[in-house]
Amino acid sequence: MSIEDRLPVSRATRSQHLVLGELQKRGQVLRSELVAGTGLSRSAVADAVQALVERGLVVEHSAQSGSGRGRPAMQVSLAPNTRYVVGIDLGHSHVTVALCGADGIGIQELTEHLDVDASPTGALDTAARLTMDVISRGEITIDDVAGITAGFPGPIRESTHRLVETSVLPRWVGLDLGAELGSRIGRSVQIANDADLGAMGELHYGAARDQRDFIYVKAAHGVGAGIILDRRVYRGDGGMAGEIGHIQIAEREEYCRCGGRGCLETVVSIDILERQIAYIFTPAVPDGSGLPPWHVIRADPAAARLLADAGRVIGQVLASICQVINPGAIVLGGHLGALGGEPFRRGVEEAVFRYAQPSITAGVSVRTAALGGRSELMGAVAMSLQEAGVEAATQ
Amino acid sequence: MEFNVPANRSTMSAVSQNTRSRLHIVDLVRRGWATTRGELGTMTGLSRSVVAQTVGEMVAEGLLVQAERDPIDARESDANRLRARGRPSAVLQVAARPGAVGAVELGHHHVAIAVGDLLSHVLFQEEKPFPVDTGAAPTFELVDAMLTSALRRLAMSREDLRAVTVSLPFPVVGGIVEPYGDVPGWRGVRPGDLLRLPAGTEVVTENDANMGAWGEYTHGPDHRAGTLAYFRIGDGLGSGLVIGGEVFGGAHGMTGEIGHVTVPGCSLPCRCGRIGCVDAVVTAATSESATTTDVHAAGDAVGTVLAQIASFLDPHVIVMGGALGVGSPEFLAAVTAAYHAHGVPNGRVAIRPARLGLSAERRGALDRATQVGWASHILPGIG
Repeated sequence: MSIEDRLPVSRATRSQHLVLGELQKRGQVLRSELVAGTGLSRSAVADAVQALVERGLVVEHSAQSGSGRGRPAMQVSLAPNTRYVVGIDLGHSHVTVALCGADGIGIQELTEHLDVDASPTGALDTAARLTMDVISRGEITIDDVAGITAGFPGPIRESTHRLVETSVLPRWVGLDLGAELGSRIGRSVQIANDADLGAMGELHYGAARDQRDFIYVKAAHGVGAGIILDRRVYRGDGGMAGEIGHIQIAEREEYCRCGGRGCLETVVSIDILERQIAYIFTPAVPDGSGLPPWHVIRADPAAARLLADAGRVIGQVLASICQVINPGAIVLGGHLGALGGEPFRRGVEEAVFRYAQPSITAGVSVRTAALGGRSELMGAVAMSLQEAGVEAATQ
Repeated sequence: MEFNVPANRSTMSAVSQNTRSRLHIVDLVRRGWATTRGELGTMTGLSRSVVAQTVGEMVAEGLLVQAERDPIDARESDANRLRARGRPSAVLQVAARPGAVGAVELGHHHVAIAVGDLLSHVLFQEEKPFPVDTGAAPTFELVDAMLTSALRRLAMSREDLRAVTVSLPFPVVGGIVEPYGDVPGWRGVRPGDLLRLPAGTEVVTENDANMGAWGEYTHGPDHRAGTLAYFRIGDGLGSGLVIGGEVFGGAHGMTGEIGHVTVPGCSLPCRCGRIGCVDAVVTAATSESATTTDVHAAGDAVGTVLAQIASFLDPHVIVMGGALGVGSPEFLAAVTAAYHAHGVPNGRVAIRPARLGLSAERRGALDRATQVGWASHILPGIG
């Protein structure tokens, strides 16, 4: 691993952010004023401006100077198109694309359901098509979009823009996701892990706006965590941080697709819960079909007990993690977080309080995600805004 | 006066970028991680011109000295000389500055002190067995006596101490000791108040596992790690994290309390007042009557916990310190087996014993004091 990987952002990216920040404050300025305002060297400013012009975020035009000697000074300003961003959320069985303004408020949003795990090509084509659709429905063009971020349901190695080589999502491993989407859309696309984006979404627009260090848990078909430390996404040295779905649960023997036994995701997932709940409501059809709506399920004492049990299993794992990093909050997202509601949340809370020390749990608040299944999508929007140099507004 | 520098993001945000760069440069140069302007640029992320200007000022102010590269080094080989065109890069060192720094390192059963200079040399160290849990007052009586005799031997006085780090086997929140369970002699203690030091000496209070992590990060081979996770195993279990070059403190300063994770099926009483904590399993394995079975049980419990933490944090490396962590091959074998049985299949995260052995905490505490000692030379208005 090179030292550049370890820095939170590369030097070039940081320079670009400094230049964008200065332009937001001051409007139209000379390059020399950028040197003074950012504290960067002249050549670093030149490189940053050049890169930002190529990304379409900044425009340059020559200023008329009185003396007329030498090269004319260049005025720099923000391009007029930093008003829109696109967020893409790929789940295991859906693709959702949103077009938002710089305030994070949605303008257009489209969803399609398909088997994302089995068909990478189909999912990428769909994501690109929906992106073009939201842009045309929003009555703008691709050139008006300042940034696009796509979230994927797997761990991503930042240096290669590929999924980390794991045994899950085998059809997706090896694809350069940024390049695949970028070539379909005709613009560079930033890629990220879905749970990381869920955490970003809740940080900027949801239940964790007051938090600095917290854990977002995406519990759906699998279980993953997004970690925010110091209000930034923490990914770990190999991009695998937060992969808690394969932590083994004591005394459980279920076989897992990873080759392990009793992994968290073989014990708790939305599919397993639906099968369990089916025994309560439709004993004859134990496959989850024909279940009542979730508000009815949550209100049923027997089903609520199953939801709380699932919460307690996840909560025991989170208790260990709380002992080590002492977060301010745990935010429960994904289908299970949203649909499991209060019974699920209480189960998590009970186990965290039971298995972690009182002095730790006194500072941990266990919450349900506020964006109800849209945390990942809004996180993609927040990430796009950040990449475009517009700090996502905390509303 | 008490302040936390430089491994503390909240106080550091109040310090200017230039001061922060200077502190960072001193740390990199004195540890030998970067000795040329080019290396400093790579490690700090600062532009070439900012590095050149800052280093220039620091040389002029007598904080850094530069030597031309040793002629023998420069002559290494003809091929190298041909490749390295232009002026040879000047090698930077930190300047000898007046003053010394100290570390007070406490375990549940020992008291140790160390004194170092600002060039990161250890000048003196000493350790004595002592029942530290009996209370802060008798412990600091002994600390005081040991410090007095150490300074006398070094022909120094307390006025020479720029900064002292106190490393404790208890959780520390905002400089105040907050032990688990029944340790009345320590609850609410501010160790800075018990050290008889002049008003100008900075005191930093830290948990011992945090200092062990810091010692291994600053003295081991992993200073390029994004995250280093350290586990102090023996006489209980604690953990410390270094993330992005800083000791990670969490939302409320209570990180690293991994010892009080529950081991399924275990019914040993723990010092925290609960039953079945991994801390209790480890403590049983370090007692005088411990059997091989106890050691295996501890290795199994610790390996399982390490696998969970590796899955969650994906650190660059996991380092094991403490008496069991560095001293027992049976324990290491049991940990490794459990870690691989419970870990994520790609098992990428390496485990290694502490390079500094049992002195990781002490060396980490001394480095921390050295950082703060330098801050007193660099921060405007202090020292």
